[in-house]
Amino acid sequence: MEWELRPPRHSVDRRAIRWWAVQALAWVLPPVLVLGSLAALIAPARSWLLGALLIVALPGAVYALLMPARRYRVHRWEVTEEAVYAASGWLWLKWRVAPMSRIQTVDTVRGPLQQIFSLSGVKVTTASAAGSIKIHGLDRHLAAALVEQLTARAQAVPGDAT
Amino acid sequence: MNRREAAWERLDARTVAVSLSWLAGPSIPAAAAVVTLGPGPRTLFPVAGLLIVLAGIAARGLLRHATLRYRITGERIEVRSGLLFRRDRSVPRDRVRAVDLTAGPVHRLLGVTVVRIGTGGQEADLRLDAVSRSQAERLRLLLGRAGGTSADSDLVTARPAWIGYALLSSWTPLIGLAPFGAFFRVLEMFGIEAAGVGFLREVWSGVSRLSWPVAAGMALAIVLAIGFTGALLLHVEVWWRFRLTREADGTYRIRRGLLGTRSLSLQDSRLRGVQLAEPLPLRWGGGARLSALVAGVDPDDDEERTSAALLPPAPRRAALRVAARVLGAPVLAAALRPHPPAALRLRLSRAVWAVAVPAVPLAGLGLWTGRLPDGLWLLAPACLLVALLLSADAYRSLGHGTAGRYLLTRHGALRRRTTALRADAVIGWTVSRSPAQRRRGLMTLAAASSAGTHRVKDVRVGQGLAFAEEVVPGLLRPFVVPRSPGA
Repeated sequence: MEWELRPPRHSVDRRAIRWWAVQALAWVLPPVLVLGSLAALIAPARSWLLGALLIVALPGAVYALLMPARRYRVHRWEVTEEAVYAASGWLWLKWRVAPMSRIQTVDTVRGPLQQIFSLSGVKVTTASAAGSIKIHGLDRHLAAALVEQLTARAQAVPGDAT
Repeated sequence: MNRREAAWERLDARTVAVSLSWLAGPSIPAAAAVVTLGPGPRTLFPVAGLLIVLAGIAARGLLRHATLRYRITGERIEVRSGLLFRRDRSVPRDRVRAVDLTAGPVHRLLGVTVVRIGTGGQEADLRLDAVSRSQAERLRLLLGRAGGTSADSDLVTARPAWIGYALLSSWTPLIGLAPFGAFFRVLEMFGIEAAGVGFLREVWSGVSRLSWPVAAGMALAIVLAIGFTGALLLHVEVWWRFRLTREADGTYRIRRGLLGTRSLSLQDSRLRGVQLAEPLPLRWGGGARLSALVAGVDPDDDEERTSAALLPPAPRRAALRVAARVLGAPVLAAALRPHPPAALRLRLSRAVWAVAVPAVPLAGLGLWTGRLPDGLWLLAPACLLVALLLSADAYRSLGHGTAGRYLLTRHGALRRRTTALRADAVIGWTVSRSPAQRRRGLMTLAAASSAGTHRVKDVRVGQGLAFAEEVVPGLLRPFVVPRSPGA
C-alpha cells in the first residue's frame, strides 16, 4: 500500500494571511514604487523603466495574491505526547517532525510585523542546526501557552537531546 | 597531583611571541613595496591599514595572555578570560568529547600548541592559545577518560603511494589560478596598471603573436603545472605522517601535518557515523576520502570536515576497510536500494532546463545581431551532453538502505557522498517536496542529527516514509496515512 503524510491537525491563525500579504507587499512595493516614480520623472528612459517595472511587478503581484492564501492552507502544526509535527511552505513544501526527547529549547519569535497582528511564532530547537521547527502565525496567547506546554513536556521526557 | 585544589595556570609566555609574529611576516613585503615604489599616499595608506589590522591581532594575543587563567580540578575545567568583559567558563570534565591540538609553523618553532576542548554541545569550544607542548600532551591525556594510559593500537598509517591521489584534487585548477589572482590583487591594491609593468607587456606581445589554440594550450599547461605542484605541496603539508590510532579507552586519535601539526582526540561516544566522499576526479582514480561524522561538527564545513578525516585521500578499498574497523562492521559495503526512474527523469529535465535557459536567449541574441562566432554554436550542445551525462551519473549514485544500526544514503555526481549515520543519532525528519517532485510523486527525506543533516534524495513518497519508519520506528508513523485515491 502507498502511504502519504497527513496534514498536521491545527491550522495557524487566520490573521496570518494578512500578515503574509503585508510581508509580501513589503518586498514587492518598494522596487515597484521606485521604478514607477523614476519612469514618471525621467522621460528619455521611460520605455526601459516601464519594461523593468513590468518584469518586477507582474511576478510580484502574482506572489502577493497567491502566496498568503496558499501558505494558510499548508502551514499547520500538531503536538503529540511524543513529537512536534509541522508543515510549511507554499511552492516548496516541508513537513518536519522532532521527537519530544530531542528538544533542547522552545522560544517564541516575534518580528515587528507579527506583533502588529498580535501573532507570534514558536521555535523548537534540537541539537541539529537544520532540525529546528518554526511554527509561524500563531495567536500570541496560544503561542505563549504552547511554549510553556512544550517546555514542560520536553523536560518530562528523558533523553540527553543529542 | 592534588586535583581538588589545582592552582590557576596561565598560558605559555611564548604565546606573546606567536602574537607578535603576526606583525613580522607581512611587514617585509609591505616594507619592500614602500622601498621599491617610493613612499607616497598610494603605498603608505594600504601599508598603514595592514599594519593597524595586524597590530590589532597582536594586541589581542597579548591581552589574552595577560588575562586568561585556566585550571583543571577533579570535576571541572575552568577558564577565565577577558579584561573589560570578564568571562568565566566552567565545563564538567565528563562532558569533554574531543581534544584538538593544533600547532602552526610559528607555534612549532616556539614549542607551543593550541588546545581546543570540544564539549559537543551548542556552546563554543574552550580554547587555550597556547600552552607548551608538554603541557598540551598532559592536558590531552588528563582529559581523556582513562586519564593517562597510552597503549594504542594503530588503525591506519598512510602509505607513501597514496600521495598520487593529491594530483586528483578538485582544488588543482583553483590553486593554479591563485598566484595570478593574488598578483593582480597586489597590483590593484597599490594602484598599478597591469599594462604599465614592463615584463607583462612583453609577455602579452609575445602571446598575441601566437595562434589562439597554442596560446590557450600554453596557458592551460602553466595553470595545471602550478595547480599540480600546489596540490602536491598542500597534500604533503596537510597529510604528512597521518596516523589514526585507537587508544586503550576507546578514544580515536588522528595525527597529521608537516609544518603545522594537528592532533585530534575523539571520544567514541561522540562518533555518529562515517562519510565516504568521492569527488569526480578522485573517483576516476579509484580513490575516496573518509571522514567521521562527529556530534557537534557540521560535515558541510570544509575545515571541520578535514579535521575529522579518518584517512587522507586513499584507494576506495582502503577507505572501506577503515570504515568497517571504525564502525565495527562493513556497513558501507552494504547494497543500496535504487531510486525510482522518476528521479532520473527529474534530473534529465533539470539538465535540459539548466542549459536551455541561458542558451536560448543568447542564441536568439546571436541570430538577431548576426555576430556569433562559428565555434560558439557548438557550446550549447556540448554543455547539454555534459549535463545529461552528469545527470545520469547522479541518478546512478542515488541509493539508500540500512545496515545494522546504521542508515545509509548516497547521492551526488561531482561529489558523490555515501553516508552511514547511526539510526539513534537521528533527531528529527524533514520531508520536502518541490513542485517538480510533487508532479512526479517524489520526495526528499532529510535526517537531522547533531552531526549534520543527511538527505535521501528523490525517493517515491511511500518508499521514503517506509524507510523513515524502518530507521526510527514510531516517530513518523502517527502522521502517516494510506494514500487517498484522489490524490
